[in-house]
Amino acid sequence: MSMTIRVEPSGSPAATGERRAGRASGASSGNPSGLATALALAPALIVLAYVFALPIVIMGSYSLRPFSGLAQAGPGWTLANYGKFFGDLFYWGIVADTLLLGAIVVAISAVIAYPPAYFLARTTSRWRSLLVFIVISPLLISVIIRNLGWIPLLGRNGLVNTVILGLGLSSEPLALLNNFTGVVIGLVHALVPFMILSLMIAIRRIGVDLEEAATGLGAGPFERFRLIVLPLSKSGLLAGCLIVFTLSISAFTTVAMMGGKRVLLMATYAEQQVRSGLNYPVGATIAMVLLALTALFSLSALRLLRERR
Amino acid sequence: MRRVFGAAIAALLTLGALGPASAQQQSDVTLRVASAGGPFTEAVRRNVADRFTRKTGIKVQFIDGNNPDHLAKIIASKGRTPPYDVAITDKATQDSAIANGLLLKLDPELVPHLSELVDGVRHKEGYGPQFLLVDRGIVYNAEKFKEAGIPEPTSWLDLWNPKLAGKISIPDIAQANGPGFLIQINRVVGGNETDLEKGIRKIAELKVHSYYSSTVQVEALLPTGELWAANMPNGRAWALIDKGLPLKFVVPKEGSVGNPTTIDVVGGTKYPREAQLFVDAALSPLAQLGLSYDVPYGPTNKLLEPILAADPDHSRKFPWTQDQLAKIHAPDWASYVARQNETLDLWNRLIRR
Repeated sequence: MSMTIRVEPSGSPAATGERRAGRASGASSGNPSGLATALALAPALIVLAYVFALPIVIMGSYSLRPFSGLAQAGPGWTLANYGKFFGDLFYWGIVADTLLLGAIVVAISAVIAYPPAYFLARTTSRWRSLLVFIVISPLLISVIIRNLGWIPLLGRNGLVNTVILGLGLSSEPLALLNNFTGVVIGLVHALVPFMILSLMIAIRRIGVDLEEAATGLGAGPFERFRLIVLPLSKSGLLAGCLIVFTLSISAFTTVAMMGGKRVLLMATYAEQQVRSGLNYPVGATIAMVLLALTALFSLSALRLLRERR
Repeated sequence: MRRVFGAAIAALLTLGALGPASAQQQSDVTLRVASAGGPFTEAVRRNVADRFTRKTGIKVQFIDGNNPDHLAKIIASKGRTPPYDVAITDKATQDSAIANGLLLKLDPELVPHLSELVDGVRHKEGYGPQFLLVDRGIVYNAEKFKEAGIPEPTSWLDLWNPKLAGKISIPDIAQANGPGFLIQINRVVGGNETDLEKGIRKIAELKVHSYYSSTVQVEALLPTGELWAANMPNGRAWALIDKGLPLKFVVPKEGSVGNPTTIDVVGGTKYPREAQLFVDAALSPLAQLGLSYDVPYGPTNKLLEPILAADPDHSRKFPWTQDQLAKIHAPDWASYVARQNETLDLWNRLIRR
């Protein structure tokens, strides 16, 4: 027997209690005036404008200028760089590969992240903080060291291949490094913590009593997940997917180190053009396209998240 | 005995070449030298900079990086004080820098050792000379080759042996050795330098383990046996061989493409005189001899010829005789750089994806 349980996301007593308290404190301190807010934000905004916005504007201007020599942008304005980029299927292919990488990493991360996220959200063990720390720990290591650590594991004579060959699962060592597979492994390892944290926070907000009620009505663990946890953690899932996706499509170091110069994605292509080819107009064009893609996905996801509320 | 004799000659030559001894001087100047980093910078520091500072009081600061990075920084600083006073780069970078009007011609009065250099290494228009001679070839694991029944390589095309599939590493086009390898393979398959497509297509057929972006990657994988062969410059290859690994280095019979290390004074430097004195110190016989023992690249000071001849165990590691130099093909680097965009693009389309 199956029942559809429709619940308001904010239905749990704990959540309503928190919000009432929040509203009370907000009312007592009062809203700060617009001018005070502006003045308080001004220093940070000025720094951001100089350090962040201005370089992007300069880079954007490079993408609109012709190539005139090494490490420089020529005079005059032109849309030729964008025309060349979008007019050639080869570059569309690079964009497609980049987005494909993002999608694959997101899919794998989401599947891997749910069990630990659920466990961490529900556990009352006193080791919980330590376990959360262990989840975040890959992020504490420098990205270069983290990727270097994969070499003895994934290499042709590495640990993984030794085990696989030893167990007879394959007659030839698997190519897990210096290719797209290696990049996926490296990125999933680095970005799953974001997904786990995002899901964990979302699952914590789901009242335990909802799941207990479902169990009482006869739902098994998979049904509980499908009917309660998954729908109610959608905002966390979306946020996690957004973070993992945007970080994957703009990833450079992991792609460069795990891809072995065989994987050409937007970030590594931009690096090749700017640092080796010293071709600033083309490099800037690639960077602006990547920026636009990232902005597009971020804004769409944020829109979806807001509608969900 | 021969080495002691050789060292004694070196010392005498240096004293003679330096002219009247000068007392320890003081100076406020710090020269900034662009270099490649790692053991190379250490070797230049030990053999050139330290002695130079002791003698003249001028301090030397090394700024390490890749050649394209150095070039980009110098180009970006055009019209203002450049970030370096001296640049130790390679011929390809030097030609680009000259084309952009970034380097200073040397005054032979300030750089007297220029007259002692081997034929053909001085720059025709008076810019910096070739500083160290580099040969590029194949370094291979002789043991693994023997076990697999592969004959030792004598030709560049031996890399395409199917038994070596997945076991060789060649430089990525963006790495310093990349263009040289491409131009050489292009020569072997009968292409001409203005159109490198034949070379790129040939390289696309090669089943590599990886395209390295740093020789460090090759140096890590050769000892473990994951790599059996790689295209490397002679200095790095011999550094590995001298560690006792079962490796051998050979320059294949078709020859190699030259991209020697060059030393230049950057235009617009605040210290042109001091910079040229440093260049002179780098070209002195004693400095060059010491450098060749630390990083086995070929010295360009011909006063060292009798010493090198007396120590064949050492001098076999690098090119130094006129015959060897004649065999190294010097491409037109300026035109390679001019066509770099197309070459990179073709490499991306045929090899990278």
